[in-house]
Amino acid sequence: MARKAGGLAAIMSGQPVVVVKKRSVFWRLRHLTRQGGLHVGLILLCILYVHFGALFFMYSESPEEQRILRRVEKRYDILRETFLENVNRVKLEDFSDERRVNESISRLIDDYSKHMFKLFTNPVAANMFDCLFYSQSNYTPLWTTDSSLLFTATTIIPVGYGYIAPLTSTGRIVLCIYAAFGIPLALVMMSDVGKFFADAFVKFFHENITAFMVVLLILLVAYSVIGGIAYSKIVGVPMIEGVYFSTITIFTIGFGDITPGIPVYVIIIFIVFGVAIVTIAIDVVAANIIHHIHYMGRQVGRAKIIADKMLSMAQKISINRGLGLGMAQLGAFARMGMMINVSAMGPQDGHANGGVGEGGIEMSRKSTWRSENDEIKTRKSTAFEPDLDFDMIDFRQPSGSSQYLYGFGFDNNAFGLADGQSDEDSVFM
Amino acid sequence: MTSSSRGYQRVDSSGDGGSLLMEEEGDNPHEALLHRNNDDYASTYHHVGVEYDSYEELERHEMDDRVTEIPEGFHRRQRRNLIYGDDVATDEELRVLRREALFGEEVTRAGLGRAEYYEDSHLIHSCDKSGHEDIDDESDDESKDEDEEEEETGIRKFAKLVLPHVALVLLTCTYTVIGALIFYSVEQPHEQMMKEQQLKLIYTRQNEFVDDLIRLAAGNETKRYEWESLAERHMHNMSDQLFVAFEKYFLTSNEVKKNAATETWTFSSSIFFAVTVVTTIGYGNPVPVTNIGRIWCILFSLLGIPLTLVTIADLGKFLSEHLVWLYGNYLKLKYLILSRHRKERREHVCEHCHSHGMGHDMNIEEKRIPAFLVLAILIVYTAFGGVLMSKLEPWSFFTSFYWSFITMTTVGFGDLMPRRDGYMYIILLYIILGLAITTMCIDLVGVQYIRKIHYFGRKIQDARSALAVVGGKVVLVSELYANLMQKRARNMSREAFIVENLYVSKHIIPFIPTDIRCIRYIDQTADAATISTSSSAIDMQSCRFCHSRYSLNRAFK
Repeated sequence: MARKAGGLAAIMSGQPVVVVKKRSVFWRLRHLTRQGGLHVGLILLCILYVHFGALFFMYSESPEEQRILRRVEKRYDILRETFLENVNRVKLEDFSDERRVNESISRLIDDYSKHMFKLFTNPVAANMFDCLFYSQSNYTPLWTTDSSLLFTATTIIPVGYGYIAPLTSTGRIVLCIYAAFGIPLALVMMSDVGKFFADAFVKFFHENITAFMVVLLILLVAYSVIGGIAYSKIVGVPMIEGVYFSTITIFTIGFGDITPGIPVYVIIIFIVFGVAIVTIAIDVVAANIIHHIHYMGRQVGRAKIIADKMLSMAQKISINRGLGLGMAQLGAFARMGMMINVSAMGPQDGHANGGVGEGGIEMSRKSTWRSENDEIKTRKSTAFEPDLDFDMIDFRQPSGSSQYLYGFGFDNNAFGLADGQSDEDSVFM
Repeated sequence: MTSSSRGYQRVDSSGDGGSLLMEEEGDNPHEALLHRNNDDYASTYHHVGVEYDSYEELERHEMDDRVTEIPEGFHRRQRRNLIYGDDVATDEELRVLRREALFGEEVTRAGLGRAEYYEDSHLIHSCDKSGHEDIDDESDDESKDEDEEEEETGIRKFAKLVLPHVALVLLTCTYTVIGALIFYSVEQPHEQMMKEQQLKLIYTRQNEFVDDLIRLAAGNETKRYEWESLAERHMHNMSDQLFVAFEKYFLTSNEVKKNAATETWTFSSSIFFAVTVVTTIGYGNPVPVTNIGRIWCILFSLLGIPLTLVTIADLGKFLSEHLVWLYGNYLKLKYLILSRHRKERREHVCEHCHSHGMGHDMNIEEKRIPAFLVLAILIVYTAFGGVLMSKLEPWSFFTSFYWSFITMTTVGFGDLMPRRDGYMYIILLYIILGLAITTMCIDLVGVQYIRKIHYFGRKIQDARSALAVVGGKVVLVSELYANLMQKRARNMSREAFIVENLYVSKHIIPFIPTDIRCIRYIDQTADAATISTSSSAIDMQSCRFCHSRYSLNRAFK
């Protein structure tokens, strides 16, 4: 009992001073390696997955392509010889009746075109005729190294141009399995990398989610337009076509009606960053939209819920002896609907928050920590700053096992801010 | 050890609880922290029976001291509540508000689509019904009246809940149809013009061929070389023209034979195209070729894709809730079957918890949907699509399965295209439901893995992420825990949601060893002190809910 009373007296009397342990550079580097190892490994795993998939599909589909090509060439030769024989047979007929000659030639041409159209539906045959009529050159295979790489990358992202597609049953079975594992892997990788950028942006905009959403949408449109303009200048097509191709690509629609004339790695890098931006934008903006939709129609009841929460929090302040909650936390709870137990601040601090600057926080970095400290000092003046509580957790950790690198995720702030907005709306209603 | 470091350990312990909820592995100092925090929680929050009154008085005293320190914002909000006719001062109003708050939170949980809370609340309420058996007649009548009031407000709240979702679905359908109309009106005339132009070119070449043949015949030219070279040159030109017509303008052999252009951009195919744009499938047959069509495609996709994804995510959340509900029923049924065949060990409940309606037959489980169940649903739905398409189209089952898979993952190569006729709407319905099921899979399984990977290696951030991810649950946990402490302080009457409080209090403690009832506490009661050492191991028991120690003489089994 005496020790308990002493503990309570120590908490209520003043602000405890915490000294953060100093860590060696080697330990810090090892810690960073351990933190970043999974993310870098995930990116490398995606790259290897795409390349090995490309190799597999190329070596699996090329023999089939060659076989179909030989069969198509043979059939085309047969069609031509048949047509020539029929023309020779028409030559021997009487030409006095011009109408009958027209009918004979028309019937021959109709048969020929019917067989040709049937031949065109085969992708290998279409590629052969494309080389024959447009390029006036020798046959270039469908499944080259570049096209296989673009195929596997656009499968797992999943853009799906459809320039080439597997024709064999083996290729299709392997493609289902490949996509079943590859699409979650690629989406997890892009979401993981995207969250880092989102965290940096949220910090850059001082946790203002509305400004972050606006800038994200502007960035999305700008990325699409700039990519389109760059593509149109490189390939030499109209700008509308370039922007159209860029938009269809980064939204993962992927019609495949425009064949890109730029290197494959450039396209893949463009697709990865574009789809990551789209994923972040849809994650942030759509999450807020869903949040608002689900809270629609419950504005009146929210006020009572908030009042009840505030009352229970007020009573909890006196109940929890060991956890001294300041008055700022009460405001934070009222705004965000959440509660964080921070024992670093005693109940007597209230509005002052004087202990934050006086705490023995040892700054291990120069510019970043200085700007962080400036942000905290500016936020000390506001009474109901909800984010203050989260920062305290990182600063006051005695063990120092983790470092303050990314702040907290934007998900929390997005939902918290939306909740706060709905709270304010309900109060003023 | 100073008390401030003990406070920090409490922060760590809440984070560790979050990480335990996320099923992560801990290190050795991690376990040491867990162990110490367990002791702290045990010594801090579990009251000894003899000293209960003194704590209660102390808490009341502290409550009176702290009320004056409530900030101005709280007073202003309270005044606003008074202005709007909500008097929150009296106890009766507090009870009504608390019940309304609880009910509102329940609706909020359902509205937010948090799958886990739905299961938890369902299981908790099933335990709540069994707990009602111990309530007096008067409180039973009161609870019936309150249930009727809640049902009336629930119907209106349910109507308010449903309307935004229905409006969202209708908005998406209207948007898609309007977009399809614009595509049809822009692209269809252009398509007709281009096709007729191509047909004219084809027949021009054909007439040139016939004229050249007639010219050779009129000249009485009988050399084979002349005939063959003429035929080959014209055949090459005609093949070139036919290929251009096929590749770029999607002409078919029937159109060439009949010399009449049919519509590729019909209204049905426009709707099909619009759906494949907003769902990002993108088969690519047909595609817009005019500048106006392409600009409209860009704008249509910029607005339509987020709208459609939100709608499908909304449908996916409902599917998630229903799956969690079905799985909860399955677990309950399995438990009922298993409990009849095995002997269940009787656990002890102390007097305090028993007076709050606890029983020894309560079992509360927290389960997650297994990942293989969700993936099995995906595979079965894809196979169903395979069967469906193999009946509608002249494809084999495997080809149809391949098409279903490529469509539901929104890859959309376009190498296999369904016909756009009367069965199109069945295919569209299949596609949209498939995307909703895929969203359900991501909602139940994918999101937690993404967050685990993203916050790997950062325990404090992970603790914060656990708070963020289960934000509603953290509010629920802390609020219910606060209510629990308040009820213990005030000796309030028995109410329905005390079950949730005790359920939450069990899970606030980060780790409870299975043999905790055999461990003797350092703060054992005066009654225990009078009993001899050899008999205290037999007589002292611990409650399975609040884990406080008590004598067996006062136990309720």
